[in-house]
Amino acid sequence: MLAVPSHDPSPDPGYLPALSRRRVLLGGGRGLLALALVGTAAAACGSSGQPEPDPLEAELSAARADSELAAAAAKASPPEMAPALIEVSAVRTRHATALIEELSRAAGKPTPTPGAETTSATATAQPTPPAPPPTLQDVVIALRRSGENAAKLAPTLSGYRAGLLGSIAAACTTTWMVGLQPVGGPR
Amino acid sequence: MTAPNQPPATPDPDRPEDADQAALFDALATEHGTIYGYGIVSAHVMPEQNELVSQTLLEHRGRREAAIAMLTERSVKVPLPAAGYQLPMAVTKSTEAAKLAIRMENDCAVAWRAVMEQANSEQDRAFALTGLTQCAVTAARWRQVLGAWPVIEAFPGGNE
Repeated sequence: MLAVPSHDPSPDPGYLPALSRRRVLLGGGRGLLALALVGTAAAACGSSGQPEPDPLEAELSAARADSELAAAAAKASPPEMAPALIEVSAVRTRHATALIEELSRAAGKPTPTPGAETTSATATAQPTPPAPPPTLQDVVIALRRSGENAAKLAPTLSGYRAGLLGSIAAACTTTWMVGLQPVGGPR
Repeated sequence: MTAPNQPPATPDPDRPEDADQAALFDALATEHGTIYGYGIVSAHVMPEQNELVSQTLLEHRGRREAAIAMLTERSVKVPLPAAGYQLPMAVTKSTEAAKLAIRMENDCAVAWRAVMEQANSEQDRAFALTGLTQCAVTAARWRQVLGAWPVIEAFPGGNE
């Protein structure tokens, strides 16, 4: 049984360095195609036979969840922190939009209407109405986790995706370190 | 894809052809300019910001040294700091100094995001991500100093 690459990151460093940058450059498109084929073949070896989910899917779910969490926290927060929480919600919505665009581009499908996606996401998040509203601290913890996850993923990607996830990671980290801290707080 | 940093008026003949090395070369050149600029910032900000200035300067210097080491290891000529730099804006007051700092942090963020996109190794991308994140955090701190809104940028170094 072959290891499934996405669950065990160790096979990657195994075969990637063997293919030197020079060879990829010399091979031009063929080198990239070869890499793409390796990816496809490796994915096909998975026990389920299902194609691997795009790693950006998890980032999209996190962005949507953070956006909803920050919006809910803003409603219950002291007035001086509400604008910052609303801003965080807006930033994470913009991340979700950019991730949807990239996921659609990669899948070769037109961008779905964000409206439909958002409604279904809210619908699934509904069945816990009596829970207390999230606090500022909940949002700080969520953004810290999202920043760390995006920062782990970004360097394993390449090209535009690495840049996009890098910016998202930087924004999440800035949010909990600066944006959600009281002004004049500890530096 | 984020455009590499604005090329200088007279292109550096030492700038490498390879996109990954060129991005790192540009980022280093941007760090040189930023370190110079923080001298001006330091001279004009309020004493309360001294700690922010010195901490930030340490980060930029650390990245400069690391980038020099990375390029040297790859036998690429490193860009030298210019004898002087033309500031993008006049700086005579503390608020202008903070604005210059934000501008420089944004330029650095763009340069490090370009490295993230052009780099060929996970190690280089991780290094560039640290730079991008530190610049984004520092820019936000300066926006807080200025009382500017919003404090957070959705896509530091990017134009999504």
